[in-house]
Amino acid sequence: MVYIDFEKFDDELRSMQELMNDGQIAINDSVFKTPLESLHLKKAVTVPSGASLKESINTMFARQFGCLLVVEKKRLCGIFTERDVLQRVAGQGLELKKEKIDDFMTPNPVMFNENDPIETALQFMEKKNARHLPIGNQVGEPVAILSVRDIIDYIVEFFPQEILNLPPHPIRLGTKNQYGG
Amino acid sequence: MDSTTLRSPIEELTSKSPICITKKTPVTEALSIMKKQNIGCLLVTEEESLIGVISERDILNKVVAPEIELERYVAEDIMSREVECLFSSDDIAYALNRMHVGGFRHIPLINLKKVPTGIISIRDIIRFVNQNLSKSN
Repeated sequence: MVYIDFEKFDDELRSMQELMNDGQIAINDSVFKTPLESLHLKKAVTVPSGASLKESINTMFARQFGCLLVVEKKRLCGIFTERDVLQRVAGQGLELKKEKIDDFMTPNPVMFNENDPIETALQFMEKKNARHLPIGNQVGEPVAILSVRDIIDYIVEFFPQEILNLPPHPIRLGTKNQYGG
Repeated sequence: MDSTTLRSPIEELTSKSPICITKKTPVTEALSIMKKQNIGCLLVTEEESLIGVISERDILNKVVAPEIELERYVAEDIMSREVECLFSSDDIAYALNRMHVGGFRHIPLINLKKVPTGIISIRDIIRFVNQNLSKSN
């Protein structure tokens, strides 16, 4: 004999319904006023100033990360991204071993502090069309990289139901439904 | 920004028309178009239909084993053929889903005939979030 606690069942249904209601979850400004360190920032991938282009690009490929920070004595002196590889290096017929990263990086990039609010970084990224921002700690050492992807992941965290729990394909009126029916 | 926003159509975020090339466009030309237009993704079309996509990452991964001569390659050599597409009438949530799960920075928007009608990028999302922030400030 199976016993079903209907009261409990109703409660569950009700809370599911509440979750699905329109506009139930909203993120307000305070969400983007929290400090950058509350994001799951990736550790900075660094190369020393004076490194060769070959070494730097190899590091970029090996780590599968589109952005390198160029440092000298723990201080940030430049940033080198995949876009730089494409626009400044690719197809130029350079001998990569002989070229120094310093001649191809963007020198003295703006660095944010891990305590800065997310929104400041966000505005900067939009204005400068930047995909990556170096993030420094209290004593000014570059420690992490904020990437635009982190922002997307951050938004997704607030709306798992709406963004992750979707039917695999959008339901479109007037198109054939591949699942039949 | 709330759940309702995520159910609005993608077309509310983007008005950019996509930049298309053919499969025979040389990679060097694709690269200079990207540079000039300041964009990270080109759509490859054949008889107006989408057949592939070239992103900066595609060029980087497939061609720039650095000393390789870019001149020898055309779009079809390096384009991604399995392209995740959406309609501009689909929910914004789907765009975020594809970006988060698939790790894409760009998603081409097409119509029923597979003709590109637009493109949505992470940059559009960032701009959208920023606009929402400044509106409420």
